Formats: sequence, C-alpha cells, structure tokens
Amino acid sequence: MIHNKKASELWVANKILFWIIFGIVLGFSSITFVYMISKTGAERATVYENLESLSLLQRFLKSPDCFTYGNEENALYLALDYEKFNDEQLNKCYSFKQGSPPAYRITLTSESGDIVKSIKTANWNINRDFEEKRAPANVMIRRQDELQKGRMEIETQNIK
Amino acid sequence: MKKRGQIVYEALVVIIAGVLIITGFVQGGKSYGQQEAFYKLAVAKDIAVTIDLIYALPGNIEYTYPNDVSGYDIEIKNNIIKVYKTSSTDSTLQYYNYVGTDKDQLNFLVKSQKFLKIEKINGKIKITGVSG
Repeated sequence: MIHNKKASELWVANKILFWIIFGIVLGFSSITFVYMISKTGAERATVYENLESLSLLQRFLKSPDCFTYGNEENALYLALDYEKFNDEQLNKCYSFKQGSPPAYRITLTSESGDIVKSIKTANWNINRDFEEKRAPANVMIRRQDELQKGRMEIETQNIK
Repeated sequence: MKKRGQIVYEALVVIIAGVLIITGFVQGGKSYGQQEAFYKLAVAKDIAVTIDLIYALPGNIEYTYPNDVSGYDIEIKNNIIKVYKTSSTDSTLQYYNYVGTDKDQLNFLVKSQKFLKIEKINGKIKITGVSG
C-alpha cells in the first residue's frame, strides 16, 4: 500500500534505475535535437566551389612569403624564387596548429627539364591519392640570377 | 532512512539540473531556429577565407567585412576564429580554422562592433572593429 511507504521511497530520483533511464533518454534527445537542427539552415554556412582550397593555394603562386621572387614591397608576379622552393619555406608560409586544412603537394618543373622538384605541406598524407589536381600554372623560375620558363602543378587533399 | 532535509536537498539538485538542461535546450533551439548559430558559423568561415586569401596577396591591403557583426565578440587566435554572443554564456559558440604564416601570429579580440576591418601592412595582418 502506498500509504505505508516513506516519502524518501516515493521520490523517484532516489532510484538508480531512474538515473540510468534519464541518462539514456537525455542522450538520445540531445543527439536527435542536434541532428534535426543541423539539417535546417546549414547551407547558409557552407563554402561552395572549393573556395577555401582555392584561396589557400593562391599564396603559393603570389606571396613573397612563400615562393614568389621579391619581398612585400616589390614582388615579381608569377616569378618563383627557386631558393625559396623547399619544404621548410612551404611550412613557414602555410602554418597551422590545429584543424584539418587542405593539404597540398606542389611540383615545379622547368621547361628545359633541369628542374623537377616536389614539396608538400606537413599534413599531406603520402598513403592517399590527391583529390584534385589543377591545371599547371605557367610561371617563371628564378635560379642563380637567371629566369627560365616553368610550370607549377598543385595537387590537393582534404579539399574544402 | 533519509532525513526530510536530505530529501529536500536531493529534490533541489534534481530541479536545478532539470532547469539547466531545459535552458540549454531552449537556448540551443532558439539559436538554431533563428539561424543565429549558422550566421555565426558563416561569419567565422568568411573571416577565415578572407585571412587565407589576404596572406596570398602581396603588398598592403585594407578590407572591411561588410556583414553586421554587432552583438558578437570575434576572437582570432591560434589559427581559430571564434564567434560568440557578447556578454553572455553562448551555448552555440561557433569557430573555424584559418591557415596563417610563421612570421605573423594573430591575436585579436573585437568586441561587439558593427563591421570588421582587416588590414595587411608589411606582411602582418591587423584586425579591428569599425562602429556604424
């Protein structure tokens, strides 16, 4: 009979079973809630057309902090300094501490054939193939005070 | 056997926990329902892509981000852009990563300004708020 029970026994939150069921129900509700709301309006925050990857790779072609010949005041557009074209310089100009940004492998080839060099960002996964390979960009390569024609080919992983 | 005081104490704990959970759900629901959470994420992504692109451009640049960000604090630090509501605990804080350079470590906090001004001077980015 309910009249014989103590108040503490009637208080449902005292039962361990209550908390187990409560935890399960709350967990499922939270997951369902987040799943449902993430479907509505998420496109508003979507970056389309691989814009992020495209923005990031511009620095390899145009920034004197990466490979472009010159400095911040005087940079020679689409002319690459061969001395700068190495992994160390690449990871200085493409620096991140967290997150999973796109990864790049860049291959520089001279028209004469005496330069063929590939470098990659620190997050490039050598066990995976590229997801995108862009049409090679025509560039000038400055090496030992001489300019020669060449091409820069950029492959991308983690495309965004 | 539990004392009456103990029962009241337990009931209070359960009620407070319940209120906190319900408040969290309501706040989250409102933020997502009004698209505010997505707006904050879109702002974080916009700023990240802008920073990524500005690092690619040689020379000095000044750009004003044209979307209204008043009511939000924007924190740019350690390769992360965080966007959250000013002066409250924001359960739907949004963030996004950008890729920087070794020679320029960003550390900016813009508190509830209408627009954002992003400048690059001598290879270093500076981010400030612009009121109305």
